Amino acid sequence: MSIWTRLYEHTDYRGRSTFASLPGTSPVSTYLQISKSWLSAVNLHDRVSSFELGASAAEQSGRLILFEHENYRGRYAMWSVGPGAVLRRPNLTAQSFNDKTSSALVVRGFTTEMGPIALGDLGTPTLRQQIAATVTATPNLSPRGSAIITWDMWPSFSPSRKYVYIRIPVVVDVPHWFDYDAEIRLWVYLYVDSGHKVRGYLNWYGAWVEGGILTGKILDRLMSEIPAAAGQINAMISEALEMVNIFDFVGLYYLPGTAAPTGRVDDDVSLVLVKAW
Amino acid sequence: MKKSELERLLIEPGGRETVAARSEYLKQKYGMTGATAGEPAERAALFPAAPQSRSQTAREIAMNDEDFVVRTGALVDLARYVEDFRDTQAAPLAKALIGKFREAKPSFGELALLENVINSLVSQGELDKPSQALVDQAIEVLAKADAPRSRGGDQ
Repeated sequence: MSIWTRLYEHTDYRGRSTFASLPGTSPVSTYLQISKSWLSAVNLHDRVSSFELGASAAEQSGRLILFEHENYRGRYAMWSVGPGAVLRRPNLTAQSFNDKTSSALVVRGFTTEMGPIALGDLGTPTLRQQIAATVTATPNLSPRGSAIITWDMWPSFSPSRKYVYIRIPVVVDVPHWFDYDAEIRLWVYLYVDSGHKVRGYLNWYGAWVEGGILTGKILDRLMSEIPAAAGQINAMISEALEMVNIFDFVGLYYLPGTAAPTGRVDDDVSLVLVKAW
Repeated sequence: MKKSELERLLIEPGGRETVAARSEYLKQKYGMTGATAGEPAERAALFPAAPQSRSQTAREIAMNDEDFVVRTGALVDLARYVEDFRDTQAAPLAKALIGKFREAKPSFGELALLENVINSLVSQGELDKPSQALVDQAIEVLAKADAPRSRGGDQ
């Protein structure tokens, strides 16, 4: 065991509890998933009110992230601990998280990691601005608020992968009929290749359309037209990654939002790159 | 159609007839009625062209995708499947495992076994002092079971 946590039912480490650890045995993992099913099995779903978080001396750092919803979504609160230390929080009042946790992650830190990079505001123009410009330039589509750049961790259709998840709210203009609210969804997969460079591409896509007599028709049309934009988006991703590929990397992982101590998963997603020596 | 356009159609002479005609056209074309409409719909699909994904090696997949440990549902009764411990209660089992792991470095599976035994103790409620001491000892044993890092140069 290298990084461990004990979650308690009541404040001041009272009541029932559950224990979970992220082992230091090789191969070293970055995340320990504490799912809703785990918390439910020990009667701690929406019942966690205090915790301990520890890291052994061989570790660089460890984080505990509590989430409001299952599958690591909704509001979050994050704490970290250094090597050989134990962090204790007798209550979660300051974060408004008493009895709110539906899932949690324990995350390992690495000696050679770079600081978290919030992807939504990365680049000039930013990713959000580029998405807005692309939507505006598409016939019969107009933006409906800012794009949500977040994560989708181990989704059911691809349970071994973690994604940068982009949700683009749009209005579909239907000539001589009512406009429809819709959402374009893109799952971007980033990885480190065997040459130690970060690569990425659009792996999955999807759409949501509000209810109406044309829902199915509009959904079909969006699903048929989104792949045509893949080349442009993949080129955009490659260009953005060129900026970081002046270094060599051995891994990457994500933190929720802007990696602030508290926030919402939908605020953003932060990329942490682990450099080679 | 924007709201202003709809308002204009409803106000102007002949506008309502235009909307009705358009409705009839859509109904004929798509075979839909008010009874079948109303529910939002969503879909997800794999991108048809993702050449980069095909070039990923087994090592790359291991580096990028196999970086998590899953503990879904508490496997508090895992020890029941180990022949030596089948009929052993949690506390004696924890003592036996602590003694064993102090003498020899445990494997990943053995660590998971001790973790589950700890959970079988702590998930029942607040612990008495002897049980709490046992859990503390178990955590201490687990903390010493570190292995050298293999990522990011953590040695």
